[in-house]
Amino acid sequence: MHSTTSQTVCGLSKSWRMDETPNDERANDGELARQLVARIRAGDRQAENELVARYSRPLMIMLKVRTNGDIPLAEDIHQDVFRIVIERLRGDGIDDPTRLAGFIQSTGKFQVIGRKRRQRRRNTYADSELIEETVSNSTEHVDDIYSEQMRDAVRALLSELPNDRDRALLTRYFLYQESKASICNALELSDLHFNRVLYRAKARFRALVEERLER
Amino acid sequence: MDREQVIQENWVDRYLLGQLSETETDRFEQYYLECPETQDDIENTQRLIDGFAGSALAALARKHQLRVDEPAPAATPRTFNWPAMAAAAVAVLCLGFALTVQRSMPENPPLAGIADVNVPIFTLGITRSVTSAQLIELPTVPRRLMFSLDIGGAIDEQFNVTLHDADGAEVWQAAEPLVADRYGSVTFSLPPGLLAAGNFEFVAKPLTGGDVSLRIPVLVETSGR
Repeated sequence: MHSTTSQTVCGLSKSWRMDETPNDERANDGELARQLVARIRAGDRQAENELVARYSRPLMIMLKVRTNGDIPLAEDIHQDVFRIVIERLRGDGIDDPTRLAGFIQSTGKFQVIGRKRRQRRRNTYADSELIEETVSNSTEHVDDIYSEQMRDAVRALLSELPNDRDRALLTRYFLYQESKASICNALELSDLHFNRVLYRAKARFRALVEERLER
Repeated sequence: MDREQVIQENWVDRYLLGQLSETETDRFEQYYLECPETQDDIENTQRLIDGFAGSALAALARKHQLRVDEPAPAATPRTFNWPAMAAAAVAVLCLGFALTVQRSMPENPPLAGIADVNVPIFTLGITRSVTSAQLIELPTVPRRLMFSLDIGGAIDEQFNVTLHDADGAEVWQAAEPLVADRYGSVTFSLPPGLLAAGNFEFVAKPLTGGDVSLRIPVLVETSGR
């Protein structure tokens, strides 16, 4: 049996589908990881390709977040993480092969920390450069066609919202990054209403972005 | 952790908005490395956040309101003549940036519900008087604050910069010497939550300047946006 979050939370037809047996899924993930680790240890190059295919995207997402959107740095670390992980799996292996995702995550995390530390040591213009980089990134962001599409989608999303309160909710949450509790308190919203607005906004935004990217 | 918990407890948003602890971040990352739906959700939400940031910049440029807190008049800038020139240079740079941003924007974009943005860069001038503390209004939402201290340093001159509370206790120190830029200023950022209402003082000490320290007292208030 499956449940849908949208039905229980938001009452929408399209939803994130959730399996009722997440423990089984986790067990499957663990078993798959264990098999991958064993095959790589045995010298199976195809298993290494499968490892990269499985974890490449989420690792890149994680690295982009941890490097504050520095994509060249994230790509660089991405390569290093897979090199380190595969070398380790070919050699000593890891203590608990079912926790392969945890090993990849911690390798990525410490690679980012190490890079930042080295950058700080080298960087005599430390914070001046940070500010210039922030301004520079902002300018590039504005000039970028892709970013323009995202802005369009946000404008369309806001114009479609039924009332000012929902617009204020999204603006305060995503732009001013206020906490959910603070916004609910200020706008006198229930937790349920907050989640409903947020869920609908995200679903609609996804559709708007897809429309624009298809043009 | 499962998908339902991720949705109900807004893990994706809190992760991208930097509201998770280090332990929670590790836990969530380990979870989504195995969850393609959450990966989709993260990418979509990141676009949404970027879109809001881009829209805010557009509104900012349209109104020519890149608000930078002006330095209070320096009480007795006897030693250096740089602060006024530096403040003017910063203002010109900010205006140039705003115009650059505006040129790339469509005219009068139909933006709704986006409030003005205060880019929290505080430009502080040098002063020798402890009675003329310069005012800093903290934003209500904790965020990283950027400072530019017009201390009249020579280009590439290095300074150790520290922040002291009203009792003189050091509450922050730049991780390494900061280097004066072409305007004689050093720039740096402070993490959210470090400053609170009250009196503080920035101290910039040249690495090669004997015992002379440049002091900039500030009064922090929490009534800002």
